[in-house]
Order: sequence, then C-alpha cells, then structure tokens
Amino acid sequence: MSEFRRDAACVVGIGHSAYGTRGSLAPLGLGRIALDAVLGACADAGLDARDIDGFAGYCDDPTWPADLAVALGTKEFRYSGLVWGGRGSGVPGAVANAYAALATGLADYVVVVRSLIQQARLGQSVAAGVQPGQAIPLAASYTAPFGMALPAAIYAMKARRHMALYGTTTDQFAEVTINARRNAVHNPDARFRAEITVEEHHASRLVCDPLRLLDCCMESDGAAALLVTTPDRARDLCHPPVSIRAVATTGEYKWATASFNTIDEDYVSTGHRRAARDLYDRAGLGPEDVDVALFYDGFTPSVIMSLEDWGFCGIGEGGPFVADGGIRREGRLPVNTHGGNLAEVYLQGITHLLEGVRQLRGTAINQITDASVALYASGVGASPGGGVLLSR
Amino acid sequence: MSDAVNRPAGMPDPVVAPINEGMWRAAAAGRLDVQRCASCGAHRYPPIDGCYRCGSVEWDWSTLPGTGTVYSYIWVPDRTRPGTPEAPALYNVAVVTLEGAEGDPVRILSNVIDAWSLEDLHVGDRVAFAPVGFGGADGAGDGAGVGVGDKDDLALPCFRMLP
Repeated sequence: MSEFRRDAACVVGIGHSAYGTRGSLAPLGLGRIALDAVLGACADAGLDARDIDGFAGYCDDPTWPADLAVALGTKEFRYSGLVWGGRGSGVPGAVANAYAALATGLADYVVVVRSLIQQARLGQSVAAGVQPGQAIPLAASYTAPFGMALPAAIYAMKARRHMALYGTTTDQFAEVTINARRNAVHNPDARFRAEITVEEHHASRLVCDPLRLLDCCMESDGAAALLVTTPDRARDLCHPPVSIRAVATTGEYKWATASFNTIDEDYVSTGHRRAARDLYDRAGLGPEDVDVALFYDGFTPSVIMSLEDWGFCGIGEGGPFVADGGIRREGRLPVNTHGGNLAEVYLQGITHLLEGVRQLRGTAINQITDASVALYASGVGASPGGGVLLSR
Repeated sequence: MSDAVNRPAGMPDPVVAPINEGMWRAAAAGRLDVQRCASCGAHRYPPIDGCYRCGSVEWDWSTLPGTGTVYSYIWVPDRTRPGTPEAPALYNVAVVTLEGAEGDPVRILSNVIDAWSLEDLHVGDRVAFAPVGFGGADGAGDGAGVGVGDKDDLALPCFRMLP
C-alpha cells in the first residue's frame, strides 16, 4: 500500500442548521438548510464563505453544489465530489474526498455538507428502494420480495447472529440507548433528552425482532457542515485547527449493502475491519490512543459491533464492554458524548464529526478531559464506509 | 394452518431480468437454481455478472439440492394481518446457507414459510426449498416487477422447516 500523508488537512469550522422532526424543515428546503450549515461553519472559522472552492457530499445528497456555489457567491468553483450510495456510512468517503482535494492542491477550502429532509420515510423506503406496490430496482429483487424492507432489518439480522454466536443480550442493546440519552440530557440541540431504563427499552414497540423502537435512531431533518482546509491556511482562522490525522475507506471483501454473502468472519460486523486496520496504520495510532469514539448509531447493535471492529475489545466482547459501563462518559471509552443518532439528531453521521471537533477544541457539552484523539466510525452500508481520526 | 404460507403481505415481486429470470422459472418448476461460473464452477448469489473467484463473465444455472441451514433470521410485525399491539402477526426473514455449493458458502435471503412464531426458528435449524409463486400467499406481491412471460411460471425460492 502506498504511504499515506498524515495531517494534510484540518477542520477549521463546524456549523449546522436548525434540526427538526421528519419533514418539518420542508418549508425551508434542502438548499436553504444546507446554506445555513455552510454559513455557520464559515462564521465559526472566520472565513468569508465566498472563498470556499470545493464541495464534498455523500449519501447521494440531492443538494447540488453548483446551486450552493451560486447561493454562496463562490468566486472559484474548483472541486465537487459525491460518494455513491453509502447511506449513513458515506461520511468518511466525503471527508476522504475533501482531504484528497486539499492534499493534492485541487482546492483550498472544501466544505463537507449533508442536508436532509425526510419527506419519503427513509426507514421504510431505503432498504427496499421503493414504497410498497411500486416496481423495485433490480438489486432489491433478492431482498424486498421477502420483506427485507427496513434498514433496521439489516442490523437485526446481524444482531441475531451476534446473539447466537456470542451470547449478546437485548439488555446490552438497551445500554447503548441508555448511554445516548444520558449524554443528551444537557445538549440543547438534542431531540430526546429524557433518560430511559432497560424496562422502557424492552417495553417499546417491536420493530424487527430482536430490535425494538428504542434500538432505532430517530427520523429527522437538518443540515450540517465541516469546513476543511490545509494546515497553513488554518493558521489564519479563528480556532486552533483540529487535524484530520488520517481517513480510511476500505470495504470488506464481497460486501454489499445487505452483505449476507460476505465471508463468514465479516458478517457479524459493521464491515469496517479492513478500514480500521488501514486507518490505524495510516495514523500511526491505535485504539489505545483514542480518547472519545463517535460511532454511527442508526441502530444499537452498530455500536456494539463497532467496539469490536475498531479494536476496543475482542470479537464478540462488545456486549460485555457496554454492559459494565465501558462506553459511558466515565467509562474506558466515552462513546457518542453528544447523544448521537439515537438522541441528538439523525443526519447520517456528520453530526458525530461535529462532536469530535468540539471534543478536541474542549468545547463539548460533555467534555472529556484533555481529549486529544477522536475516532469517527461509520455504520453498516454500501461499501466503502470507514473511519476518520481527528487529533489536536 | 398446515396449508397456510407465512409470507409478508404487500411486498413487490422481483424485477425479472436476463440475469435472474432462470432462477424464478426454475423455482416455479420446483428447482433451486443458482448461478455457477462456467469457467471455475463456483456458485454465487445474488446473481451478478462476474465470478469473484476466477474473473470469468461466463455462467450458467446449476440446480442445488435445496437443503440448507438457518444462518440468521428476524421476525417482523405484519400489521396488515390480525393481531394485537402486544402480539402482532409476524413474518420471518431468514438467511439460509445452501448445501451443495462449490466455492465460498452461498447464502440466500428468504422466508421460512411454515414458521410462525418467535420460538419456531433458531440459528442452525435445517430447512428445505419450498417455492412460492409470484404474487403469492395473502396477496403478497403485485406483479409490478414482472416484465416478461406469465406470472404462473415464476416463483420465489422460499423454504420450509425440516424436522
């Protein structure tokens, strides 16, 4: 593998629009909320928004950078890159595109942006590709006719086998949501700020056995942005830069979205063990160096599998790791200190990176003392997902 | 319930395309056909254009015995059928590892049509091929994806429990 150039780009600004429930921001529109996020990131950095010359998106984002560029008054439009598919796993790919554009001199200031208004219900339509009764894409022909029609189902199928192989329990899934809610209590941006109990988790509606409603993230609207530039340009801006130490997007062998024909060792995972290997190797860091982990938490088993995939415990030990408080703020590895997709907002991962930046700036609501390395890891999705290591 | 089939209601039929038509037709004729590389003989699923093992783009259909084991499974509430909020009607989706495949293990995502409740399925249970016609039981499927031929000649590869 080629040598990776570390710390070639850094995050200098973060911003987000108002957040709302599913469909609530439709009157504003995708372009407006994207603009709010980008302008917020520029204000945070102290950069004139007209100096942005690159755009990186993911999740097949329908917000066209050409339109954004006009609305922003972009003077030089040098770069745009979109990660195909990926759904919630696409953020590291967008960061990688921004990083590559900056490291190679294709652009000077790149904004990574995700704008989401859930008018069609992603939870019902994405996995099948369609609403009931409509013709489906060819690729869905091997899943949707059998009722594999919910994103939750992909995680539930992996969770069941995790339970069968390793004895993982629904109490352990519940702890992931309990932790997220606990971390959201003082987060004014969070939608769900009430703590929950194991009993409330188990009493919530069955969505897709073994998963219940309180294993699932929320449906929400909003936009968020990261402003990324080179270390030399960062020196002129408002905040001490947060370096992108390394990024990796390395898909597993024979992995597709539903991934039921990947190799056996990879099935019960988020699909990022090769990305973890590459990311740590590129960064010259290991899991022991990570002070706070931001794990994509569309569904609770994602966090348990991420702990294993990213080397914080052995394979199959993610359940016990969460059960003894390992992911709490006072635990061995604070996870999703802002509340994540389960409690703050669901914007397909980008808000986790905003929290990583706040933790390394020392401005997080639940600040981890002296945090200097933060990991973002994406969830199950179309390859390649992966991770980002931020450092200061 | 012996003749009833546990399939989700309202799900679309598959898209019938050159790369998959053979398996739907084989299922209607009672055979579980899976793609096989014409060069190295590795089976693969879902249908895709190239062979992961040798790179050949030539393939044909190969009939497997139709037996397999449950690799994982889920239960999903089917709110179109009678039930209560506490005890909704459930359908299952199972990933089944097929016996008799050459190359990497071949798994298929399907339904176990004679399993009805949470305790009926376990990882490792043995199952056997039991095709269900397109637009099958309980109004499942609507034919929207059918582009060629007669729906009566097309079936989904489903499974039933083996004792």
